[in-house]
Amino acid sequence: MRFKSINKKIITTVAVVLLINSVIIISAITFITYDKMDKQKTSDLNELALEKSYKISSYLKSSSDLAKHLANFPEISNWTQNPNEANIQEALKFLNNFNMNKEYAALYILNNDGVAIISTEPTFTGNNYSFRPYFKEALNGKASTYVAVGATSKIQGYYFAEPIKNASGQVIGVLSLKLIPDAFYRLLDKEIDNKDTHLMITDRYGVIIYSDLKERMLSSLGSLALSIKDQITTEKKYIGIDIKPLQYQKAQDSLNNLKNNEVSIYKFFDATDKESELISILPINNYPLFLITENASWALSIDAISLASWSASIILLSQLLILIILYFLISKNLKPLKELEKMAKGVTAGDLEIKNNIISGDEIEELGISFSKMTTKLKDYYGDLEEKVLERTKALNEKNDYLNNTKLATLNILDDIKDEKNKTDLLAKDLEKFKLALDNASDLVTITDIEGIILYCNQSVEKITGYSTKESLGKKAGTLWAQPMPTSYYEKLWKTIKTDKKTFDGEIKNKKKNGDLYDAKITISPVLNDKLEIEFFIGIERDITHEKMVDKTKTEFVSLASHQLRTPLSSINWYAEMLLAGDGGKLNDEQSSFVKEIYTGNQRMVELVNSLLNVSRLELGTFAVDPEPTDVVKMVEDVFNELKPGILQKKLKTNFDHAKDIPIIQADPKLFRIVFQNLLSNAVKYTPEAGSITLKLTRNTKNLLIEVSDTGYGIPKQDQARIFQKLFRAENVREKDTEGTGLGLYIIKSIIDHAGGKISFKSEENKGTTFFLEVPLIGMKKKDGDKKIE
Amino acid sequence: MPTILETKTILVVEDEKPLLDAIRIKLEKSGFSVVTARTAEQAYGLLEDINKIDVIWLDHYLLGKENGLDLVVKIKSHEAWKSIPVFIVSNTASADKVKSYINLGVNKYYIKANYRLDNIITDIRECL
Repeated sequence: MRFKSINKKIITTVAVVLLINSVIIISAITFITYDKMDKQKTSDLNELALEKSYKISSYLKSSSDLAKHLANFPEISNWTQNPNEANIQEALKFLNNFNMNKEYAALYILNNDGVAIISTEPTFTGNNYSFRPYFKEALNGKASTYVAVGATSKIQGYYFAEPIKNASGQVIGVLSLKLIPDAFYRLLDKEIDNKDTHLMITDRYGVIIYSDLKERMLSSLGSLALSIKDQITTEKKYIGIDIKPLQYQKAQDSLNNLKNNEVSIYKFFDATDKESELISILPINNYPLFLITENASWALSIDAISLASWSASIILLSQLLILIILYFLISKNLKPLKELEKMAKGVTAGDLEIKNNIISGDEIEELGISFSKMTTKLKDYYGDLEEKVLERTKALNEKNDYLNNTKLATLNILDDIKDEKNKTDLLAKDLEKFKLALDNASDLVTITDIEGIILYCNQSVEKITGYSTKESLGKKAGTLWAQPMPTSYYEKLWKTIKTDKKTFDGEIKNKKKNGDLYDAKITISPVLNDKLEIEFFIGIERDITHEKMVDKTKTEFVSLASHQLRTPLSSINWYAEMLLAGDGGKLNDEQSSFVKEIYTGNQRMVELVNSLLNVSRLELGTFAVDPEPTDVVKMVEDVFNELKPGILQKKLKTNFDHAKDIPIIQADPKLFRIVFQNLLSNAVKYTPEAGSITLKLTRNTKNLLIEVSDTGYGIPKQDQARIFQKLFRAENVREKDTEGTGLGLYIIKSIIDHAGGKISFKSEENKGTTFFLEVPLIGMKKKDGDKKIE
Repeated sequence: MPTILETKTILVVEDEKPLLDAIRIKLEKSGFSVVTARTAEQAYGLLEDINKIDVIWLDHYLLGKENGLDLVVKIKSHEAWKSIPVFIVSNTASADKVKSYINLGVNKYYIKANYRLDNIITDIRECL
């Protein structure tokens, strides 16, 4: 929140108070001034009206007095009675003496008929003015004053009439004076020194016969009543003048109720002039005339306003001065307060180092000192507090973190528990399954502790060893059914599972409950905990007595086949050989060809037996791999040599391309030889006469690359997928050649697979076949086996 | 048949009569002086009796208690006989047996059924 400064507050308050004060004072001054001035003006106007009225009446009286004086002259009476030329001349001369100042338009004498018999203004002479009221009144013996527009001159005129009497007092005529039209102007124009003040003189009906504003001439103050209009017409007073009403209806209306020499003043708003006006109306003494004095009251109020504004300006200025003084005064006195505020703000913002710089020598300084002390104390306290708060906050944060972590952990645990429960359920099910599977497994499965004490064994224990599960649990597996083996065997076993903590695989002879011996294949694995300590051993034991028997039988069969089949074959072979060699006497051609057939047939039989033996050994997995440094190039040359008879017979062209960097590799020469023998003999066998056979031997970084191509019959597309299958022979070669066992490529593939190599081919029927072989240069791995491939 | 300037004596040890006959006939036709035995014991006798046996043709399986391997062991351990070349011609070709023979220092191991007589005889002749 933004606080207003005290300074501003005070100044604002004082300013407002002063302003209100000023307004009141100015209003009062204005009102009083206005009132006073109004009264003054009214009184001035009253005075003015009376003064002017007096002046006018005096002026008029001088004229009417003149008229009376003249009318009473006996010469006038005489001249009126005898208006001969001489008298007229004399009368004119006389009358003109009284018009030296040319104040009068005419001085003239009317006879009883109203005819101007003598007139200083010649145009009047002979005219009949009997219609004029002043004539009529004068004829009746009364002095009369009258205003009218001249019937002849058409100019407004001011008439004074006096009866002329003879010596007996009989009215014999009327003496008239007519003032010049601007008589009043002459009289009054100089009197009006204020442009806001106007004078008007009206006749008894309110028709203006004099006004300093000439445009008002012969207008009426307000609307004239119809009767008055008729009267005016009758009097022929303003012949040919259209009397227009002015805006002073109120004055018009008041004319009939006025008392002599009493000023009536009206205040009204002049809609035409758009101003407030003061009007005074005064009947001019004994004359049928009214003096109207007009004063624009706004002029007066302007005076008031100007006075008010002057006083207001002065007041405002003085107040401004007061404010400025006050401001400086306050600023000066409140400066320490500012300082104090700054300190307070500083403290609020956390600055407890703030210094007390207030030297004002008053309560504020005292306050500053107290504040400073307070700050110091606060600082000390705050320091402590800060430390404490820091500690507490830290503790709180730690606790909070801990709680959060705990919460998170709890949530995680809950999740985990949920997961774990699900897992556990699944595991329980799995375990159930596994247990079921394990319980019913044909292999004997035992779990022992680290000392070999049986903790679990499945149902096969009874079948294999003759001991029941009950009898077995808690016993030492080694002593229960183990038949003592050579010490070295046990040493190796325990070293593997206990020291090396690895799985031991081996064969063992065991003893059943009834004393019978049996062969078993055992696998013992240690189960380790997190610290890699052995917790259990899991032993799996399979009774392989039967398998061993089968194996033995097979081995015996192979042996039998080798020996018993080959012996008669050898016999046939050799005797046929001898017959053909002529060792039994020379054979004729027919005999020779028959024996050859026997020999060839026997050779095929030998080959078949060999192949079958190889296949059975390969399938048994019992063949040995016995790698030795092997010169592959030489081997290929040897095989080519062996096949020479067939090659020559079919007039085949052979090529053997080999790279110079073919190394001696570790390989089983017999297995390798079989590969080359089969590949090349196939090539010879299935290439028509005069074809060609090429063997390329190269290497890359890892492999020995063998490529055997021929221009032979090729392998039909539809047979290509089955070419490595046992006993499979392609359609085309089966038709051409009854020889061939369908075992060659099968054996090659088996050997190459064993050697970790690859074999593939490309072939097109009647164009030829190319086999591609890759054999790792690292050679073949040694493998102990019972049988050698032959 | 090339004429042999010096007739070599060959001891053929083979249990199968027909095969023994075939071998004997062929060797004789090839110019060898042939003595035959069907058991290891007979072979010892002949080795002891006949002073000069140039070469031995030996089968693995023999009549009697001992087989070809036993015989080779004795021959190779006998001061007078150990330099006599020995060619094993047998149909029984288990890996260990072949290895044993080779290790004992026999010249060559043939599988009967896979070889012609004249091939073996050529090898023997080359060795002498």
